[in-house]
Amino acid sequence: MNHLPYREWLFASLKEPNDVLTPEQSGALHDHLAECPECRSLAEAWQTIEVDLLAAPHVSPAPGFTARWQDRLVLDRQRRNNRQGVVLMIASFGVGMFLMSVLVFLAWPLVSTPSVLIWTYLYQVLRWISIFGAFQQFAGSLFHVADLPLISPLEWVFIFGFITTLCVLWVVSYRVLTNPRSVSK
Amino acid sequence: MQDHEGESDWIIRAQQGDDLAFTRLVDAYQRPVFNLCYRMLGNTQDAEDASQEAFLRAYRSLRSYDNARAFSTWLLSIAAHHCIDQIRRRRPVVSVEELPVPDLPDGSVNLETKLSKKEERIKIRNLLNALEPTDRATVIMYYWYDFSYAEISQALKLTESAVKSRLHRARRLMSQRWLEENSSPVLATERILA
Repeated sequence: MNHLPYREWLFASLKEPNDVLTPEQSGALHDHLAECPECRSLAEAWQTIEVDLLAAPHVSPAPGFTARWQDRLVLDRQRRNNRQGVVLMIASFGVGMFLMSVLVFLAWPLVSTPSVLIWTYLYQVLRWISIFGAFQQFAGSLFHVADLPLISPLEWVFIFGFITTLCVLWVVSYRVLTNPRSVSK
Repeated sequence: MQDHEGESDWIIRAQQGDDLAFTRLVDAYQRPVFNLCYRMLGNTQDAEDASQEAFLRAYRSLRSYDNARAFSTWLLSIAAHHCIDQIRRRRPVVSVEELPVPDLPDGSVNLETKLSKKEERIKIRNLLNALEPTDRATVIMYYWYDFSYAEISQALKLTESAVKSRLHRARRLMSQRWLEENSSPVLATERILA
């Protein structure tokens, strides 16, 4: 037995005016349901379900939902500010490492023994880590207290790109000014 | 769904950074958003968490909200997508059917009425649970929120024909499930009394 068109029709919604069957379709479905117990039970099941669905009420949250949401918003802001602080610290650390590398490269010929340079380098790295840690804490609390708007990662890239460019320019200018070209006689 | 009075003003003010205006939107839409999450996830704890998260996501992306679109559709779309993600991420350790059904405040005093309503909720939850998450969202938007096919397609990013075919598939599956459940009435009664 072919159930296909009848299965389409018997799941027509009570809600949808466009789903209402024509008298011919309705008659054909009625005849089919009279002789097909499988489709008849499906049709009965669907009618019961749809009545239940249409009668099912909206469920409300427990009282105080808005207050709980406000608390969650505060927590979410704190978390995002802390995350921004971490991003700022990592970026600053990256810039610092870059500048240190540039300085090491420039100062290499001035140092007679590499061990002095390495120890100086390590000392500076540790010093900068502690400075950046303190700076990160300060920035996190600043974002939180001043309630500054969140800065997107793209904006951070631009900000640090700009700062890095300025630092490189400063190092190069310093190098050029302190080592004037010798004029050959 | 009907828009609330003064809603467009609240939205504009919230877009300008007025938290109080957004709080009023939360107050106005807490019930529909919670109901959608409850119907999607099947229990109140997850529904509370999901609806709070949906409002947070709406708050964060409020600047990208197109004012020409209905706010309710946009907000419920966020909630539905979040619930769909939650269902897909869920580990199948505990079936939703095994979770207890809480006694929600329904205003009825009669014990018989309360039991009958609880039975209704279990039945509806089990039927919805049989559906794939997007089909579930389609059924919920269609029956609880009176969304048209066009609104559902906009909210769930589907074509209208996909919405119709998903609704048809959902109806067929729910009917089959209903027949299976009702073939063993003793088991169903035991589950309600448990």
